[in-house]
Amino acid sequence: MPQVPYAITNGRERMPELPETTVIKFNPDSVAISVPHILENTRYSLSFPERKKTSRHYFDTFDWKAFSSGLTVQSEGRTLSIREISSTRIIASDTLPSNTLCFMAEGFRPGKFPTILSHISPLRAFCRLASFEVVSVKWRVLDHDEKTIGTIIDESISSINDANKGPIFHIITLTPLRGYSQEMATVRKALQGETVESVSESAAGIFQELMRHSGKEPGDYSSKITLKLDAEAPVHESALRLLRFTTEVMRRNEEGIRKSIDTEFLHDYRVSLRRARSILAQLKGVFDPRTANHFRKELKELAGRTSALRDLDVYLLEQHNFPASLPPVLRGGLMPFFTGITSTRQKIHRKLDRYLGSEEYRNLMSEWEAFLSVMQLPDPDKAPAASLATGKSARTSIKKSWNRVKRNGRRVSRETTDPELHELRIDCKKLRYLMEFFASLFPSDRIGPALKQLKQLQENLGEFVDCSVQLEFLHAHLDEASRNGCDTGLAASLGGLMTRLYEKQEEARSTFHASFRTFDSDRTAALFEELLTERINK
Amino acid sequence: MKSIALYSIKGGVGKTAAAVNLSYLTSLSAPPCLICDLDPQGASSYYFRITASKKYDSDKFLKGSKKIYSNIKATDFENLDLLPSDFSYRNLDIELSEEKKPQKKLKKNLESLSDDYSHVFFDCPPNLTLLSESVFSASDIILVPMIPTTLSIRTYNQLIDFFAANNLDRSRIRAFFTMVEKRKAMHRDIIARYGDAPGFLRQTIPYNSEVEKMGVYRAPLTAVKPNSIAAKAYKGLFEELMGEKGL
Repeated sequence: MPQVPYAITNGRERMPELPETTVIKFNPDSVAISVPHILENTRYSLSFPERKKTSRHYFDTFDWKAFSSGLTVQSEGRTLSIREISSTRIIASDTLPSNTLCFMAEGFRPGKFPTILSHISPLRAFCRLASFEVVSVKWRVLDHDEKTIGTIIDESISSINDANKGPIFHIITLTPLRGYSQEMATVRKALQGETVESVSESAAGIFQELMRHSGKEPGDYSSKITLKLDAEAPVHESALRLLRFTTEVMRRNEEGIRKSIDTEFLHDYRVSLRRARSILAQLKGVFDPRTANHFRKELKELAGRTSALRDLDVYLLEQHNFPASLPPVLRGGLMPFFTGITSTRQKIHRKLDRYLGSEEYRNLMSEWEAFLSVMQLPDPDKAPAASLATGKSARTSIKKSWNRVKRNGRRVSRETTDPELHELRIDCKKLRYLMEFFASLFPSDRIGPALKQLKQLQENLGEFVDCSVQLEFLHAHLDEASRNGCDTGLAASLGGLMTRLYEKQEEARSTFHASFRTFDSDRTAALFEELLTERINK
Repeated sequence: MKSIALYSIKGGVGKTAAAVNLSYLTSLSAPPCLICDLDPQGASSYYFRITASKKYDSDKFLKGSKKIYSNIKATDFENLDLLPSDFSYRNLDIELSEEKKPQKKLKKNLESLSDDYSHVFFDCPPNLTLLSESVFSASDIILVPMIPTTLSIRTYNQLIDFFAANNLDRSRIRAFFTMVEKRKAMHRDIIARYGDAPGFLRQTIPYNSEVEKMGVYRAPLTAVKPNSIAAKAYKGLFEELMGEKGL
């Protein structure tokens, strides 16, 4: 698992990890075991027990970022903690804003807790996933000097909704203090030896089981395409699989968009939608053109309905960075600007929310899903390429798309006009999508470097286009504001922002040729040639 | 990582009591903290009920990094760890003298801990040896507890002279008075004379039976009796110390 850099290291030798926590799991129906009784036969004694009954809630982002970073986020009472999943040790804690189902780093006072949260995921909200009732007894294990060598926690965990049903889990967690692993191992052996029907498990395993018990599967969502395609299968079949995948992603994000939980739901939804449109557009001859065009049109319209909201989201996400780019005297005008955007966003969000709940949308999606469920190959007269092998089709379409990027990129004039760069950016996106669709057909050490070259070029073009889109937006905003009697402070701030954006845009423009040359190099050519001429993975 | 040495040429002046209490207070307000017991008598280890593993000795201490890591033990207080001393530490000086650059050894050995702890306290044995020199160069502050007597002032001056003679930075030395008995005229006189002198901290630690009882509690007084007179004095000393430049 990738580790979150909650301790900043400078590459020097690190203190070894803290001793591993052991979790012993008991059959919840088995006879109660007595920890103090078992400890009587060892050299160790126990402190006075601390008994507690609490509700425990687990939180994570929609895409399980805490879990995939090896952490859990949980609350007991008002205390919210980030813990290492493997040891259950607390890394940071804070106070839970009351009755909160979802939170983000910015909702906390600056400190270690929000810093780690935003390391885990800067853009996503952490939402409550599952709740349990926990009855626990905690002891400190003491040696002959009454020095604590570790802790034992005996917990019964029940579902919060039907606590009468009895516990889901009965677990005993042993956590040695630093430097006392060996001593605690004796205690562990005593506990394990005395009890039948006990299983040692990792704390991470327990977490996963608890989630499954609540109908959640840790790590089950990612907007990345994870499908394994079959190179020999007809491309029509593979395309349908891809489309079903992207549609599934869209579906899963609907609720988060409607509840406005965080901005990534809409973002993922839109990316998936674009991917679907790209498949329909780029895999020529794979579908009946009439049907394909019909859905292309419908999906384009759907995308259009979401773009205004995304544009505003982008602004609001950048909200904290804007003031610093302006001289202090111009910052005042930003306030009304962002207040305006926030209220516009609310309106636009309500509109999209209504649309996603409408019959019109329901019909569109069911029509689309019905189309995706028909596996039968289309009429070969109308879709002559449908039965081609996926591998072959992948190579041809990537090659074509790559050639187009090269051709159009080389044609960009010395002046590098806006339309030229806009168009090339779209070409790059198309190529990128194709490569991502078919990535599973190629060895990852081949497709990876080729994608990297492309990404670098896309960054430059992305910067350029983002600036120009923002400039246009600000210009429109300024126009509208002036019709409604705009105050000079706002106008000056927007003017300041536009100047900065223009500078950034021109900088991106001026580095385009250099960045394209890097892409259009012998090295990239070799990478693509090797990728595309090689025998496809089976 | 900031390092503070509790050091005195004389014994029985309250080095360990200060090291234990100050490190505990540090673990609360500037965690995490490590206390490094360098005295073969192992008093600070004793106060925290910690004994070194059987396999641990001065040899391992001199080897550094990994050997040190695996012998650090958690105290019963969160964010406060301790590297226990071993009786073999009585030979540290001889062993140090066989090392290349013995003066730099301690600093080098503890460098890799600097990501793990914000502060380290050295509880030093009472003498002026090669190990002391190694401690001097590894410490940001050399904190010298003194009983307010003329003899203590004399040893303090010896230390200052030693620093001067060896081209060491005297500005890192801070002295404070411990085991102060207000009813003794000599204590009062000396504090009056040196209380404001440069390099002397204002806060004094009174002679108090509670401090001696730490051997019974086997825990920092600031943790078990935070409202006792002596605990409050340590708190005052801690706050004054943290206000020092470089800490």
